[in-house]
Amino acid sequence: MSIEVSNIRKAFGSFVALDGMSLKIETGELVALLGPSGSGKTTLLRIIAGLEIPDSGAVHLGGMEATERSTQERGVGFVFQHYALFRHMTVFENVAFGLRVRPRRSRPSSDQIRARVNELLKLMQLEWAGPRYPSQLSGGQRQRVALARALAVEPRVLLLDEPFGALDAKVREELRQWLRRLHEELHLTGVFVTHDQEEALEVATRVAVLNNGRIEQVGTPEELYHRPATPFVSGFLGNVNLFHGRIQDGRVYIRGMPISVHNGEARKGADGDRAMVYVRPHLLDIQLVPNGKGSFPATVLHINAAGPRVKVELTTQWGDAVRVEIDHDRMLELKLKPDARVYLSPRENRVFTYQI
Amino acid sequence: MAGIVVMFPCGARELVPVMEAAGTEEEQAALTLGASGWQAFFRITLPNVKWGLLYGVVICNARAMGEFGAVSVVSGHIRGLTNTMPLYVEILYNDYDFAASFAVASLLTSLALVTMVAKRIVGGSIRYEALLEGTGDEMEHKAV
Repeated sequence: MSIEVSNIRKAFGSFVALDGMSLKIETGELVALLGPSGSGKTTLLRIIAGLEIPDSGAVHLGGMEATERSTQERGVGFVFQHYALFRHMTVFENVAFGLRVRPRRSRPSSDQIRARVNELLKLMQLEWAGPRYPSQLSGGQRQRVALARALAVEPRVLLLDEPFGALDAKVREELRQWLRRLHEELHLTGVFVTHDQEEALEVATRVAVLNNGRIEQVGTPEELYHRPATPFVSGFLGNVNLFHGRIQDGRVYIRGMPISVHNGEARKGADGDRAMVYVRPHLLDIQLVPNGKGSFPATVLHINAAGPRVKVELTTQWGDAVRVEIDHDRMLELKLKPDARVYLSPRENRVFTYQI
Repeated sequence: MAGIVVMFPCGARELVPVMEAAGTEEEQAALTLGASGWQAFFRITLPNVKWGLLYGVVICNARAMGEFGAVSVVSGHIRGLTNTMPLYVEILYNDYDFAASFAVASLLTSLALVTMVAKRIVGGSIRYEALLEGTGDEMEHKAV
């Protein structure tokens, strides 16, 4: 079922959580709402679920106006960050709850309920946990029960509020892949909220980046990572180094040194405009001599070679901290040591210009 | 009636922290699963606060048994109808019926002991549940 929110506004007292937000999600997509805390992502999810009423704007579910409909009528599955399992019920009863509260006419028989619950517990690899209570399970297991419970009522939309936020890194990794597989198998429309950019890029088919109650950019993970539309998106997705420069004759100069720019945006700026140059750590190269095409001097501060790539921290002549990632082979060639004087050149970058 | 008015804040005081600790997420979860407001209340809210509620009832009852002032002023203390035990003790004592007044006083004392035991048991259950949930800190102070 498709979801469309249009021009949603929601304020809590004087704090504006959503400031005229519009977003369309097609059937079968798995969309991540990504943003820092306070960006309004959870509020948007709760408005889609009907747990929060927008001050203005409209929600359409499956093409039908749903703004005034209650949570009960919307047919959405919701998974909470802290699971919100019914603590006085067994795992089995938790999953069965949504079927048991149906009106008598549409309620399945107890045999059908048992079969459905067991099927879901099996899907979640939790067959053994039926008679246990939620307090006897680990965090990852509880979240899987919460997922099974939400899926039991066959929702047309699955909404997940920071589903893996309260779990440790390893379990989180597992459940991510789990969620993606589940989405592929069931072809549900899904929306999940996260502040973890890695999670969003890895799991979602499309990502909406939120900031201050507005949408900064919507796109596939590849688009967002390689072609971020705003400075905020650049800074939020992955590690970046930020340099301030100036535009002259369609080129970007950082402290008088020309930088080769691969995208056309710098040319839009007029002479003398300030430019922000974003370069990801793995797209900076370290050289021992200037390459003559646009490199600037820096001093090595710290080298961390534990990991798939070598992380080098440097400082530029004018005092900006720079992080660079190079591979181990390159490291062997360069034989870097702390305090070494080197030259940095960006292989690719993303330039934003803004007028002053 | 006077007793009820005096008792309510007392019972609520026991119930409110239990409900606050439980939060509203479970009720919201019930709503998203298609439950109506009443279903959420009877199937989720009430079972979750049952011990807190019982605890509140025990405390209220203790308060009601010992009520003197409010009942004395408002009810007009008709014997066997709108009287409480402490008032009864006073009447008997003023009638120089010492044996009977001491008997009632002893009964009141033993009821107090029973109440204490009940409070202890119910309070223990709350603490146990809270510990199971891993949110026991504040409840523990409450129950001890």
